[in-house]
Amino acid sequence: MAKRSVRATITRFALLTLAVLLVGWQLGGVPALAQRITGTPGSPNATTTLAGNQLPAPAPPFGGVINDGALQSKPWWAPRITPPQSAPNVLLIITDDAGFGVPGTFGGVIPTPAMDRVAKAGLRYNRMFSTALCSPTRAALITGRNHHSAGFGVISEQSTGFPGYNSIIERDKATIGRLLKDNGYSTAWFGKDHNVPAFQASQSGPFDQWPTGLGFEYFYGFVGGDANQWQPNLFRNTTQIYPFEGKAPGSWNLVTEMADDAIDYMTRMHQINPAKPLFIKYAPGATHAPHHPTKEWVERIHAMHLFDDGYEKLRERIFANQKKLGVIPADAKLDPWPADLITPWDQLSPDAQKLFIRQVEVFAAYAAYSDYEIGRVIQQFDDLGKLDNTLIIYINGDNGTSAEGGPMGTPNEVAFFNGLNKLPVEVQMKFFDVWGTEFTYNHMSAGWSWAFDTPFSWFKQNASRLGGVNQNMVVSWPARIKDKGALREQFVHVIDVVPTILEAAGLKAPELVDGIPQKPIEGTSFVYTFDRRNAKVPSRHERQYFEMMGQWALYDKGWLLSTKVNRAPWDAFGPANPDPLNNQTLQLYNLNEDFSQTNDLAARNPQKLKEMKEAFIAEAKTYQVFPLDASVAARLVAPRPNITAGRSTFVYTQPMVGLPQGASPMLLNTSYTVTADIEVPAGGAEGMLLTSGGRFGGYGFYLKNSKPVWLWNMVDLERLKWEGTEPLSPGKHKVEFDFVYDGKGPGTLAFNDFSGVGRPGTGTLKVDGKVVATKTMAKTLPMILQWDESFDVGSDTLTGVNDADYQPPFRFTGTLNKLTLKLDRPQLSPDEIRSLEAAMRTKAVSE
Amino acid sequence: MRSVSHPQGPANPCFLESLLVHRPEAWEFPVLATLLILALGMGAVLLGSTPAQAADSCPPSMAPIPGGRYRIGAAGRLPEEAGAPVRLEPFCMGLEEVTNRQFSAFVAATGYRTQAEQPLPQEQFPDLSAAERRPGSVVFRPPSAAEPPQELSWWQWVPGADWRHPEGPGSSIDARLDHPVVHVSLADAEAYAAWAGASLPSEAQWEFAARGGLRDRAFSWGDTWRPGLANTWQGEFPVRNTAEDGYAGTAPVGRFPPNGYGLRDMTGNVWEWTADWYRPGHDLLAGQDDPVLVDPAASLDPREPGVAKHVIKGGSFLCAPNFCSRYRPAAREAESPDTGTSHIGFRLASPLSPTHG
Repeated sequence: MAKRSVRATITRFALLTLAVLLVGWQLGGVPALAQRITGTPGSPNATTTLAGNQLPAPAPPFGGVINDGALQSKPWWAPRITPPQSAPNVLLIITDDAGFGVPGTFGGVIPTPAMDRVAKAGLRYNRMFSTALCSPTRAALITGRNHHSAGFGVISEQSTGFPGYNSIIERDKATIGRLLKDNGYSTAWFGKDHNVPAFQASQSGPFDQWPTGLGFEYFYGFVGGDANQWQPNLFRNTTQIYPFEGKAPGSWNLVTEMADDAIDYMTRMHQINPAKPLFIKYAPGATHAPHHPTKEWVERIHAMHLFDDGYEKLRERIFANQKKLGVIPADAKLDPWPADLITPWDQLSPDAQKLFIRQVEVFAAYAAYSDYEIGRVIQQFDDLGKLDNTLIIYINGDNGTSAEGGPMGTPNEVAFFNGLNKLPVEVQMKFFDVWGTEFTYNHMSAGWSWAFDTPFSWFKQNASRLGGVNQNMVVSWPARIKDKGALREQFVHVIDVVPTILEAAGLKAPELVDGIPQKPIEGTSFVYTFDRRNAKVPSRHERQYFEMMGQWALYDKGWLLSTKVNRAPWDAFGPANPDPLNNQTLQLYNLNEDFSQTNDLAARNPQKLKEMKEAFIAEAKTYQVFPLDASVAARLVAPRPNITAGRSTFVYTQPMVGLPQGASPMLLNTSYTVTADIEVPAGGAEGMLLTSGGRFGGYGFYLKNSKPVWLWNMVDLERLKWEGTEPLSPGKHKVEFDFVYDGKGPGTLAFNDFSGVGRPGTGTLKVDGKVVATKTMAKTLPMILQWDESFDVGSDTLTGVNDADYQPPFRFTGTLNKLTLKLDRPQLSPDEIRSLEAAMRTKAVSE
Repeated sequence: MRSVSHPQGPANPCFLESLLVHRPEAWEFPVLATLLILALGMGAVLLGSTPAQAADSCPPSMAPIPGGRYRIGAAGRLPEEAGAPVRLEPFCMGLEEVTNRQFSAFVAATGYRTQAEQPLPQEQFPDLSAAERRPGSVVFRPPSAAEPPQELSWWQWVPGADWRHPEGPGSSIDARLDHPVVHVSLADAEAYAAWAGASLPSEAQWEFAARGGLRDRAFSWGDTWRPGLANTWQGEFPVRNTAEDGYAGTAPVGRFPPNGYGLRDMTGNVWEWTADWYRPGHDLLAGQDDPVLVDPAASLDPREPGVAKHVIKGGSFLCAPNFCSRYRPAAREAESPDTGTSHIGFRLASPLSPTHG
């Protein structure tokens, strides 16, 4: 008996759409579907659109005739897949760490002519929402699902082993790249990719969650949260490239190079096949720290003297501009300046003012420079004759302006992420002249960040405040959007972008991708807002939860329930709120009447408060937001399934570079021994044996003038050096650095206790078993090395850890026979665990 | 996931005395009704009366089906048949498929227009012109024997095909008034059922009824395939139908032997709509009482994902040993609710009514 699962019947839909392609033309007598097939079916020029339920589309059965000989047979080609005829090119732009008041288009003082151009040709949106953090917003943006649904409750470097937080975009949520690619688009991604799990970023893969694994046919950009724009950790597809090597300092910058690469790509695609639509995700590193504009842009902005009267005045000026432009309601209000948090401008010392102005000019130059380069990419669509049918979605910021420089700003954000978040002005002034160059990993004072989030309050990370989540956006599509230059005030969220693109392209979300049933799209298309007649209709996206590191909110048809901010973004290193759901002060706002979230109505509406909290809990359950976790930095060092997990000995017998932080053995908060078996040739040797990190934090084990050196770069503020007294003689040697860590290790973090990390320790440098240098470190780096720099053996990529001693690549000129790295990680004793548990309980009770 | 619920009683006030099957009021109180049925059943046993007395609780066009525990599906056959234990209350099942004659009466009484008689919706077929969207239906046409047929190529969209014109314009049902009505969509079948004061059987009910009281047998009559017991395809599908059973297409209802419950054409003739949405296997029904899959979101046909489909049962005159072969109680097929074809019809079911007892 036949077990073949053949169809005993057929649906009329299949018969009238797909089946026509398969069989109709042979039999005749069925309606033609001219809009769906072009060319003669079966012939090489035939194309077809897809029903789209299943990606990739199942191969159609052979439609020709096969007899014994080819001369008696009839060939048949499956039609090529194209999207529906009117499907537009799509240019999806998202900038980084920029709040509502950054672009000139929305009242800011920084010139953004590219954004202005899109706004004039299309629509401005003043209620575009993010998730308050980078990777989460970006995961939501490309999947059309909420950030927790997509496994990105936090950034990948903070991932923990819960479905909402593991930084894994499961395959039941195919990205927009994949959907468009399988429907016949060319797909490419330029710039930032902060959605590779930190533990899958090495060359041993897997690459499933790199852009090329997520449906983007081409990738040119960096993997991680940010990049040194002068010497980025840059990839083409999955191969690291170093195009800046050998270029004069300051002559190569990723912001420009990325635009060039995108222009090159789209021009090539156009020349190869002008009919094939393009989807480009364009995600510049700007304006995330480090702020790395070119010198010319810094000079241009400096000449404008935009910031000389300080951040409060800047805020007032932006606010007035916004009202003048009509991008915020005339009755919008401003919260008072947070003087308890950020020193008022007139109380700063002249040096501090001078420093801060320098900081912000570099930031503003970076923003203007990035917009200018975006403008070149847009212009290329125009030059290729494609602009009319191109949907441009330009989102300003993946979250509010960043305050991760702290109130003082910093020349080195790596220092910030190691808890050094208030560097004194005099320390920073040393970097004044080189601010924004390759010698800084710089960020600005949070006073500016507050001003750049005008008319809102708070920053990036603050999911319950509009300063963290209320972005703005411009959208143009000349062939479709006729209400040019108009404003749209409907609530839209980054999860709405995927369904919008699908609707614009005439495609639907598939049920199956690679045989895997797909989770429903969670966003709501905003194509309806394109029409003038819908200019004022209520938003179709009626409810949205927000949650970021234990701060949360619920939006419901204009009402916003918010947790009162209980932690400034730069306070990331203390014990976390143990009960983020209930240990909160709740606030309630009616955004329909209170654009900038200034009037707390909680006291008058206890019932509404209660209902909305329940609604938040329901949303949180639906989108795998639980368990809530308010910790920030502690999660950076949480254990993850990286390729070093469970291993304590690592052996390298040949040079190797490019192992990212998340996939390399981590020397922080542990004892370790690094042993190098080397051979020094006659005449001596120099060069790198082992290094991780770079100019802004890291370590190096190298020979300088044949003398062995171990060096800890303490986030570019201090360098600790162990150095041999004598040059090594020609011949074989064993050079060893042994470090004994004096602390309980990162295990204490699981108990909301920071006492185990960043502790002292003693390092000993030995040559052939003989101690040559011993030194105690009073403190060690607790959290992270320079994240965009790799673990390199035998040479050093990107920046060096000690410019005074060498310039990369500093290849080892002797022979490295074997390098062995052994970790001896501290383990908590049962007694220690008991006492940590007890302490945590006591703390919970007292709160 | 909301997937399983109990069948809803008919609620349509349209009520034709000549086709009276059942008054629905008691179903408003299913628990009470169940207790009553149990009490009646127990009374019957105590009194030593024959099961025939239970027939009092079904209308004359239906047979009482005792209900009980059984395993829906079949092991080791087609993957979509993977089984699950379920339990059914007693119910009534139509003895025969609904005929053209009965359907004519319904249309005459109500002016109902079937889905095949209406233009295709533009939203669903945006790429078809208005002319291409004119009413029609899916008709079986045997391909010529000259060329090797492509799978499914025997299905054709025929404008003007509907229940009155089963092969399209020029064909008629005049000589087929006692044949099962075809080219009815799920909505058409439900409209008829509501008007008749009945409902469509759930798949679990349908399959239980089709087994005719036999346990775990492949066919309605036993384990061995025997041509001549049902209207199926003899010969090599789809090009040669020898019509050994006397019919190349549909047959008048009731021409083939009944099964153990007295039901006709549970095998072959036409596929029959059921109340369940289709998905492979019966996992969602496992352990349920009177289950029916009512959530379209749970529907999945892996061969055509994205199109929610209903279960059809019983196979049709097109089922041949070399193709389909789904003329077994456990066999099932999926069909989009909007698609009536020349080989799909339906029959009615209804709850046992204590008022009849």
